[in-house]
Amino acid sequence: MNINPEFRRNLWLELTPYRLVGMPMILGALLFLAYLLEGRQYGASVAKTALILFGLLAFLWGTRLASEALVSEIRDHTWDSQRMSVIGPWSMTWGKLLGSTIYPWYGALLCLLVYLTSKPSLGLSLVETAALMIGSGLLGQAIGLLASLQAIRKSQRYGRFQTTAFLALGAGCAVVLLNWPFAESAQVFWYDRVYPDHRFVLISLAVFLAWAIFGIYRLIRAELQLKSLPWAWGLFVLFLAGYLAGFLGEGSWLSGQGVWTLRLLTAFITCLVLAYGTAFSERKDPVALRRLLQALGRREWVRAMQALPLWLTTLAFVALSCAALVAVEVSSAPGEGVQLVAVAALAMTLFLLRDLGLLLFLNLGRVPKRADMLTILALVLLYSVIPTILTALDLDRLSGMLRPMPGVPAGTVLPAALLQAVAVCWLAARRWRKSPLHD
Amino acid sequence: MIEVHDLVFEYPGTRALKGVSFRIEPGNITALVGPNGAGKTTLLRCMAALDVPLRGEVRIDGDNIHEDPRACHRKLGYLSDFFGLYDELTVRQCLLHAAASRGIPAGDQARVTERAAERLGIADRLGTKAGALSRGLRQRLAIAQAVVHEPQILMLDEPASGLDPEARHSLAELFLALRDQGMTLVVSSHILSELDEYSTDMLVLRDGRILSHAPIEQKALAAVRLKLTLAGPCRGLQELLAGLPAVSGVEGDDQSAVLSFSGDAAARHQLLKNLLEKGLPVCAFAEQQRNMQSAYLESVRRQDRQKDLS
Repeated sequence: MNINPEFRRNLWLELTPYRLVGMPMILGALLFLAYLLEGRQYGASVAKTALILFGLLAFLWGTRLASEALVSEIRDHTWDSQRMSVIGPWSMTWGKLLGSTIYPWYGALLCLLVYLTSKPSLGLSLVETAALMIGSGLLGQAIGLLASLQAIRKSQRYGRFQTTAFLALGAGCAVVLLNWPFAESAQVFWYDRVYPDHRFVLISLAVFLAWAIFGIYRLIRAELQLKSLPWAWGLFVLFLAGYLAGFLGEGSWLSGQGVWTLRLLTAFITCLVLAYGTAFSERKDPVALRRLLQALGRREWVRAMQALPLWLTTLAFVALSCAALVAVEVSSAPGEGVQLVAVAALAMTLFLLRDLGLLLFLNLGRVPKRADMLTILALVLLYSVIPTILTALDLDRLSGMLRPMPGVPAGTVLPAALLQAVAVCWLAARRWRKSPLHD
Repeated sequence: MIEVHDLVFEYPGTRALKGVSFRIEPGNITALVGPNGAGKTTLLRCMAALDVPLRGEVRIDGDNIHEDPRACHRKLGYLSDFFGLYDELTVRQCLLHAAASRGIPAGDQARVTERAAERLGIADRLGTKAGALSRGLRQRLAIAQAVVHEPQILMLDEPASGLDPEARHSLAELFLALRDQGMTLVVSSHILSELDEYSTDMLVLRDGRILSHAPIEQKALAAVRLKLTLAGPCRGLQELLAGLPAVSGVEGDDQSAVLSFSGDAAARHQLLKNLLEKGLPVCAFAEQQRNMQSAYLESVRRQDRQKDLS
């Protein structure tokens, strides 16, 4: 039988006879202690202990192992050999995701079994409970692996801090989704329809898990030097914008035209956040940019699309959602509130251009390693420190020229934002032209 | 078999390969030589489709490796200079994993594992954990992993670094055996003495450019280099030697010189006689083996001279 080589390797490494015996012994001892402390009853205390142990194993340990699955290969110099293999990206994806976490899952599934048989008071069926717990555990691990892969694509090494951040990100997402059905509300409003809470969470969980695994697959494809067009990322941006916009519906405080404006604004802000996120999480070195420009110069459109960074793709969605928002605003009855939203969206887009220009300018400099950190520092100054100083000096209008602020007229904020965006982008282009091109 | 055309590779701020082009024929063992930082590792990584060049292409049997890297990887074996092993797996498990991940069907994996272990002389260590092997045996296991799928081409980056002389010699024998079995090898190293034993071609890389790429003719390698040492200095020694029959490539100073001599034993005797008749105080006249080191240095000097002239 042809078993996935990556999964088999992990089985060999993780499931040694000693470990297979050790896990149930330790878990059994802890659960037996809970049983004894509850007056020898197989009930709530045992269920709670099993749930905590499940969380520790699946969310913390499993996510940590998933986050380290690839970086440990790079650290131990075995990743090149894997990249030279003929293991396909799908096999590598599930081999890494399930293989690296197989041992924590071995323990977590034992805990789940105890939890489900010890009268859990979740209000869900056993199947739904199991699906929710396993799904959220997998989601946390998938997000941890996804984040570490993206970090590796950016820089071949990262430290303990980043691993902990990936762990927190993955486990945090999993815990939020797992906690949702425990909340007081029993239903969800989404695109003007009401859904039972736990069903909605389960479907959302499945969809996000599918996206996370698909994201891992795409990044592993890139690691294996397989070329891809950026359609998948575009679809994800559309999905996330549409998903989040759906929560603003008839059940909330707005209705009619205002609801759609608010939904578009949510979609716009989602694109904006994703643009910042991708800009900071991707490589922006001159070589990558040159590869893109070279393909564009030769009119090799497919190659250019393959070299297109995700932040540039996302920028197109920001521009589109901003244009849609302005169009909806302009077509609706003109009013002060309406104009405010359009002006804010335009200003935010221009400030985004300024910030991306600044990020590029610093990345094209002599010390690109610290460019992202320097940009974050500059953005903290631009969005927080300097405006606060200006406000303290009663110069609110000047403050509104550096960041989007309510109450600043369009005639002030838009030209100021445009001027900054053009100036910073010109500086970045100038630095690019001055960089040694060799050709 | 391997065609590299106009390969350009850049790291941010540095151009590591500057339009490298060459062709390697099947069945050769090509020594990729050059100083540290010449671009040897980058070139090998581009040839293995581990790094994507800014420009240019690498073709294996006519297939562009960067267009379809997975298909080309079936034909390639690559050992990085900083290779790693799964220390907690046994030698057998390491080889089985390598076989499976290189697409060997499940039914054949045990057989190719045994064969690779035998080829590399580690068949008696199949049950040992990789982490417990010595440096030389780890190197052998890594090479066994790289050849387990019987690739047409094997690329090795500094394969002998850290090995003792005995292990280096057996590595050379292994490379010759692999070549005899039909494999094409590209071996990078900046320790030229280790390449002498097995290389058929030498590709000299310096500052990201090909300095020379030519077959190492064993006859040429064995061509007589004579070292002449005088008891005292003799002005114009080099000019005098250069004017003698069958003598070329004279290097040295007024007291000693190394020269290429293309005559037979009788002609060599005549040469020594001529030198003595001319009154030169010869105190040593010995044959010097021409090796890869001198071939490499010659091509570097030739390049430097051309640069100076231009």
